[in-house]
Amino acid sequence: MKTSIRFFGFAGLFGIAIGIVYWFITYEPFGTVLLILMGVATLIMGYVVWRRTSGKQFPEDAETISYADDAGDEIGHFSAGSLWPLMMAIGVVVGVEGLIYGIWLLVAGLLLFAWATVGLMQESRG
Amino acid sequence: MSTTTAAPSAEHPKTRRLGLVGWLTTTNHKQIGWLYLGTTFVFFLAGGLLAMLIRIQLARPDMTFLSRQTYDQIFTIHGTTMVFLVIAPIGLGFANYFVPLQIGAPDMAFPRMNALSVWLFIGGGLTIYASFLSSHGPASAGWTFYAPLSDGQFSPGAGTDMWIMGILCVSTGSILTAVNLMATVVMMRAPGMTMWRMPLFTWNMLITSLLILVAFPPLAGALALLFIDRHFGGHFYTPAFGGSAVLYQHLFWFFGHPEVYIMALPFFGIVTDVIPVFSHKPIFGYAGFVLASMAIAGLSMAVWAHHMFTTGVVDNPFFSGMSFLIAVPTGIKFFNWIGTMWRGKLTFETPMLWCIGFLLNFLIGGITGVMLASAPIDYNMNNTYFVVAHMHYVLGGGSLFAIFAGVYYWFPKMTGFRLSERIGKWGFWFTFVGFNLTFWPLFVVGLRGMPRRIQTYSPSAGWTDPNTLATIGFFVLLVGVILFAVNLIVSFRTREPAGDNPWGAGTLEWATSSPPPEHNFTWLPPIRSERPVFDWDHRNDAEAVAGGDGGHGGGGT
Repeated sequence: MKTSIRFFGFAGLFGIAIGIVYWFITYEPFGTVLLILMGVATLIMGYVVWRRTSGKQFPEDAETISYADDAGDEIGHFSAGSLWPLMMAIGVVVGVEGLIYGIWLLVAGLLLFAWATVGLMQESRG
Repeated sequence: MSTTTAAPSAEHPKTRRLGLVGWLTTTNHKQIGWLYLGTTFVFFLAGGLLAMLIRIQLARPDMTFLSRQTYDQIFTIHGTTMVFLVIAPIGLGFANYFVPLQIGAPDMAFPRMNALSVWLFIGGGLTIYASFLSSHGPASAGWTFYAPLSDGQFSPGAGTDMWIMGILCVSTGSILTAVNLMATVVMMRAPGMTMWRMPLFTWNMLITSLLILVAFPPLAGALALLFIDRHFGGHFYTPAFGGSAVLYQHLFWFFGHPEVYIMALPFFGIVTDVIPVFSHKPIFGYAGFVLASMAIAGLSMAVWAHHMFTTGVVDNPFFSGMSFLIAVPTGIKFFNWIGTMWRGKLTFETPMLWCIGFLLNFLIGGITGVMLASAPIDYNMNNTYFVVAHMHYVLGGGSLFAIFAGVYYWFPKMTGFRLSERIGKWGFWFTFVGFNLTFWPLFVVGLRGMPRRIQTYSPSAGWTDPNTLATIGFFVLLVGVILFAVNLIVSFRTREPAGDNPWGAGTLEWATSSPPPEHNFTWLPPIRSERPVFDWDHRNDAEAVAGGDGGHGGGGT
């Protein structure tokens, strides 16, 4: 995971560094804020990866490993199929149309989105 | 080319055939990849149809085929379609299908979020196209949607709002996909698949995902503020009330320039996976390529205001210098590609032809980009057809050619059968000649001062002949696209079996069956380099060289 952490870390530090350089060259606030926030956001991603992975050995990082060494580990749970993502998306699309065409459409979209989200969560719990 | 089979004679489970309900409820990354690719192809045809209307209107001077308002609407939706609904999402479509396969993962990290992403993308695209049915018709403020042109006073009507909401849905879907791809690449690689062994398409998708995560939120913010200005009395972009129209440009281009690389890096990755296969050599400068991609991504975040040189309120030398710098890592990539082909045993199957077309066109797009990075030149060229031609050479001649390379390269893996080489090569040549006939003359009219987005022009302007040539070129290009569609139909009907690894490629997706089973692999070769399938296929050669010990530590079960 060192490469992943370095990837996010360097990208984040680059954003902050270029933001500082940009400020002292231009004294322009919009771009400075955007660049520094970009750097901070990327550093947060690196921090999350570091927190989740520090002190652990991952088989994908091992130069020479046989699949037998990794046997038995659960890779993850994969959904067999679900209607809820489509329902959530319809809810979002209908809801944003409500901002244009009327509050009734917004309410309908929000209700559909909320219903689909609850459905998805219940399905996730199995 | 000889056909090799990477996997031992394992029984591959048959791929499930999906009905309508299956497609609507799917959470499998391959089917979601198909949904992306199929939808983007439909949008590509729609965007191409709009381009045809534009070219007919501009073929001769004083044409009245389209009214001014209709013309504005058509070029707005054409640009929007090609940028937001075709080139960028098609990269996500390829990534959905191939990133898990290339790293040995059974699916994406968040399958249901993946499904939500694709439905948001499709919903957003349909919202934009549904605006043709609205009372004022679709948006007409150009794909950049500059304020105050796009505010309530100058762009009234629901069509403009539907554009904003459609793009917000598409953006949200893209952000979710980027999160998903990053989590998949960071956490779900197969044992032995270290980051520095990942195929270069996967590397570039990781870098593209980071770009999406930092670039799309400013766009969403810009459009949300615009909507507030339009409907809730906001004045973020109205200088008379303390707002700033330049703020919109800052926010838009902070998204917009990285977006160029979001539309380019995935396809650099495809080309870099394809060229070694048909050069019969490993990629030249693997690490250099990855570092160059990172450099391009980093620098691309700091060049946004080269689109704003002529506003007079940005630091032109800073943005000009940073823009020139991007040419360095991009040049490194050309050395990667040329160095890989150098003294290789080149064969010119259809995917390789598209890659060579990509190299030639993208070189022209890149060099004219360096020219435009010079502020004095940009002052003369800004808002002319020179910029239009440059942009089309980058995204059309570059990205689109690489997309076709990817389609021809991976089609056998996705379907189990081949596209016709003969039709494919004819299609390539029509597209290549047609593309250059269409867009090279636009450099000429740009240098002669023809502004972009004008509906018609006078016969005395000196723009007639290049425009007529460009329109003829478009129809040649159209023949190329029709041949591609014909190739799809013919190949789906004849179903000539391709085998699991028809090109003799080395990356991991070629280790599984064509098409891959539900969760991708029943068997994986040991991963000891960036070409595990090649290593496995040639393990006997390696053992002979090493005196009977090939050095493979891994089991293959």
